[in-house]
Amino acid sequence: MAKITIDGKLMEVPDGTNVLEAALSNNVPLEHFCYQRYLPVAGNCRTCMIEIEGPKGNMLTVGCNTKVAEGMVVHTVSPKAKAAQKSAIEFLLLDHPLDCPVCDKAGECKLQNQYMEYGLYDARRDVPRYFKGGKAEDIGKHIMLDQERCVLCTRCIRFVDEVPKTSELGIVNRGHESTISIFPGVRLDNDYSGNVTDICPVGALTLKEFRFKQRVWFLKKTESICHGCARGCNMTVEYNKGRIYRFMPRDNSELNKTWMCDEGRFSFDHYQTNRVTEVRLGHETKTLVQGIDQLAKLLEGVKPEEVAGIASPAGALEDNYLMKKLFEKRFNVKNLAAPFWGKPGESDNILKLGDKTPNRQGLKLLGIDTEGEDLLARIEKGAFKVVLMMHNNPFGQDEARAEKVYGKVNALIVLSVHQTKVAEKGSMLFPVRTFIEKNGTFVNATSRLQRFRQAVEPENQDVIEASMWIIRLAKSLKVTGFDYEDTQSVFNAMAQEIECLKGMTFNSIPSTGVVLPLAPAGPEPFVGIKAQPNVLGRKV
Amino acid sequence: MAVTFKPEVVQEFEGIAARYPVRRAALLPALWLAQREFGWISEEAMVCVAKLVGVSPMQVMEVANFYSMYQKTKPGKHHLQVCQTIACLLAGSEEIKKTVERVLNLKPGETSADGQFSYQLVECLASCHTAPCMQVNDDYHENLTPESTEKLIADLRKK
Amino acid sequence: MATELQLTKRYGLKDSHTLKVFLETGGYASLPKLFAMTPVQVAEEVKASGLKGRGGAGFPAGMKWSFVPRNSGKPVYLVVNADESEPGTFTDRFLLLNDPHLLIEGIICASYSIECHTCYIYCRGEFKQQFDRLNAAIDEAKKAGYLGKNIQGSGFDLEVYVHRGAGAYICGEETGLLESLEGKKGQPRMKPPFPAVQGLFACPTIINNVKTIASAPWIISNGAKSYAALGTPESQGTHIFGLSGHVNQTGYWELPFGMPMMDFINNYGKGVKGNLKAVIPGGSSCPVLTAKECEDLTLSYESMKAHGTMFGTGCAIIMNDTVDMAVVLKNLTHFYADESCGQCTPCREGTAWEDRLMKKILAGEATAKELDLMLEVADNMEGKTICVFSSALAMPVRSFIKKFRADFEKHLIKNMVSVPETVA
Repeated sequence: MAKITIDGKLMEVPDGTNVLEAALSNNVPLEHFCYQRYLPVAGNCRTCMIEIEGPKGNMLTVGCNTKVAEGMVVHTVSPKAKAAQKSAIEFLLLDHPLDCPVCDKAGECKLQNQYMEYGLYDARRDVPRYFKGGKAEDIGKHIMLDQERCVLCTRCIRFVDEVPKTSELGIVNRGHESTISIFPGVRLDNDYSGNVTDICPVGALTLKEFRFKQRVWFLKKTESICHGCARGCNMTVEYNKGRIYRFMPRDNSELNKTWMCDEGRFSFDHYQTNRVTEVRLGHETKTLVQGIDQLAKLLEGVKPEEVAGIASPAGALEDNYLMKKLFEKRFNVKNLAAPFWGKPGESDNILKLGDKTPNRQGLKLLGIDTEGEDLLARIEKGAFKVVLMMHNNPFGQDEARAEKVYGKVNALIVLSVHQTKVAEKGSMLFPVRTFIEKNGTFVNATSRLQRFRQAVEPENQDVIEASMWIIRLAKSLKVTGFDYEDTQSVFNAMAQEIECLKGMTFNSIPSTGVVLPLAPAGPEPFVGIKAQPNVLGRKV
Repeated sequence: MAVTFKPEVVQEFEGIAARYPVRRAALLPALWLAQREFGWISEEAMVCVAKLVGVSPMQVMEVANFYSMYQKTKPGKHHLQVCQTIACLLAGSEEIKKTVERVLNLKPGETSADGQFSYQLVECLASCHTAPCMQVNDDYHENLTPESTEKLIADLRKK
Repeated sequence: MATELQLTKRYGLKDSHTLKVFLETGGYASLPKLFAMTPVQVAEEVKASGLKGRGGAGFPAGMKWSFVPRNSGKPVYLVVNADESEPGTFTDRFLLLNDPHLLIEGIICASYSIECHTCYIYCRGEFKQQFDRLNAAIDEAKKAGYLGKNIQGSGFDLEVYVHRGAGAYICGEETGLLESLEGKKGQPRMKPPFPAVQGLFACPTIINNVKTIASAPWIISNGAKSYAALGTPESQGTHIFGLSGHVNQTGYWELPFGMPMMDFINNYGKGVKGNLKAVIPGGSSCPVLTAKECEDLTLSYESMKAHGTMFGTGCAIIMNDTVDMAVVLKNLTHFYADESCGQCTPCREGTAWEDRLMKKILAGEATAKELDLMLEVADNMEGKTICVFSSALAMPVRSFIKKFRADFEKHLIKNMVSVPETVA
């Protein structure tokens, strides 16, 4: 550890941390463009200028490339440092197009922010402006490029070189004619292309999906976890007036860093389309109260052993926990399993995992069988009159087999988010909420317990969380022990019953999650990608 | 239309690449080979070089566009590179530029319609004591006057 | 008094670039003495000689060699900077052409001292003839056992390769050169880490100019004391000095340090053509000097420093009073804007801004505001960049405008002279 002083504030940071990182992690604002904590240091923007006291006087240098040393005294707001920061902003803005009114980045643009922070000068470029050209270039499936706006920080180049290792982007020409570009015909189409628009500090690289859709200052942001595979990348749901505009990755240095794959990032629209919005019993629409009532009557008319339950690795811990509890108390827990037949996808050695469900490890934690071959065989034989199916779509995954298995079931009760094949086949269909519309937790492939929070409310109040649905059903069936106020309370109660969760509450879970003592089901991310040394003393 | 290196040239490259512990270091030599073999560095040449060296096409483009001697458009048979930097300026390079532009009717960066001549302005050629200077392909021509420049162009035309 | 020529002694001899003539004229004679010393002793000897880097920075060569960590487990590299591109400079060009074997002999001395077994000569792309001569000389040397394995039975192995540049001034900057050698754009690296510790391919590397390396054999053969006895106490040895511009005899001459500049101009340059107005002493990056300032100037590092300029490459550009210094500065701003690598903000934007300001001034559309702005932009560039390229423009801008302001003011609108901005 090294004790250093920044602007009179004494702090202790791990050896090897750079001064910029030390400042940022101790609430000393030091603006920067080209520095990104998970990419190699470039040091080319020259905006993080600081003064360091030395025996021969103060040295003016950049913070990002200076490692802390014991006793170092740093000034970020001295007149010389401020003048250097200001002149760097002036240089960057010199030929920058004043596109703010039409630029998607407005509101989260580093140039805007830094100008307001360090600039506020009268523009004095009285010489002709230099035009670079290339205003709205379509360079990839998701990416638009504006070459004029680029400040040549090289973050995007360093990203494509380091993470997907596809090197599509580069800066051609020299000096003032330097321009960011792709090679003609080689488009920016790797699986992680969306990330370049996050790290682009200006509006040079923007997402087609977000282009001209929404001003960022209207967006509300909620912490969440990606639902697309077992990696569980941390993300933020950004929405306004009930509509989701984008998913943005959230910094988790131990998991996804600040990256997300395109598949996950662009899945946001999937959760707003093709939804089940009403309760359906047979061919009739019912209210939720009517639906639960009728289902309770149906279940009271059958023997407990005649009810099977299909839980889901696509469901939250709370949903599956309550499902298990219901079967323990009212039916037979031997008749509950969570088989999921979706074809596994491809794992890359970066973030994506083949298992496309977010909570398989959660089922392991709860002791719910994820193979369920035995149960499926018995269902096929006709052992059950009722099957309760939650967050599962066997008819969409393998229709022929599903027909075979579930063909003899009298009553298939389906809890579904989307209007999928299983939703059609169900004799009773109940709409449930996506993870964006509720609170909950997942456990990812590397055994990390992570929490997501509710962002939006569905329009129809009858669309409730699967966990709340189970509670209502349980109460209708007069089962005791289901007095939970909300999903948070479910977690808190569940935590008391599971050894490795003891002492946790829903709100006490760290926002970057906590690793449980559970054998991992998949590899760590970023296999073979060189860690950046010594950011905050850790290899990230 | 893709271009490929002849097998002997590939072998020549491998010999050069063996001099460096990292293969990418042979990228500049590879571009020189491409310019020698194909006459200039087209996009197809960049793709060819990228495959040979083992880097992405954009990484080749970055390098090819950074250095002024790699020709990104097809040069003439005689590529005239006139020095415009200070010592040549003091010795009269403006007159040499005017002579070239008048005799060949070319502006800097252009190639003549018959493909014989192309003209580029370059920076200091290290001929300051024998200024003004012009490099034609690989050869230096120094102590130029408008007259000697005209004669040089006439002689080149005959070649 | 005629000092023994060290670097240029073979110039003018027929086939001076061949091994045969080299050997006949005492070539490779330093090797037996070299191999009898230890590598550390060689570095000490060169340190004691006072040899400074001849590329322009003037850093003591022997001291640089001693920075290389021995036993780091990584190979050590020697890189010879033959990217001579500084405007006004033209002396490495002839050493490479006329005496490539001398460079090779120097490479052997330096490599032995830093315990390096692979040397790359980075030769600028325009020097095609030199590139061919170097390759031919290396071939000859290898065949005769002066390169390759077990040089002259010493047990020392060394390979030398020539790497051809492709037209970029910034590749003369040592870390820009390394980037170019590694097959990338020649964009300089941040320091630290310094090349001596982490240079070519992340290994310890020494980069030296052609003349610096070529000076080593004489020092080894004749001893540090003899070398240090030449020149001045702070500028030891000999150098190849050049003259271009408005002198009656342009050219280059090998001389010991210390000669007064006016003697050099008058005795070797045969006098100024017309009236002396300004001198750029060592390449365009050096602050310009007025005629008056040259009166007591000598060709030495210390005298140049005392006059507020730099020794640089030792090639001077002489200008008489027919020259409009504003036009000269425009030529320089164009050069630096063209050659900026573009990596860091102040240089990339600042050089282009300065060039456009000069264009405006020469077009008669500017006022004193633009002149003062040029000085401010120069200050905003210098000291805030990854490498000293920005200083290389900032220093001429500052010195030209400060010392020859009248030349600029005559282009200003209505011949406005500078008025301090007192109006709010």
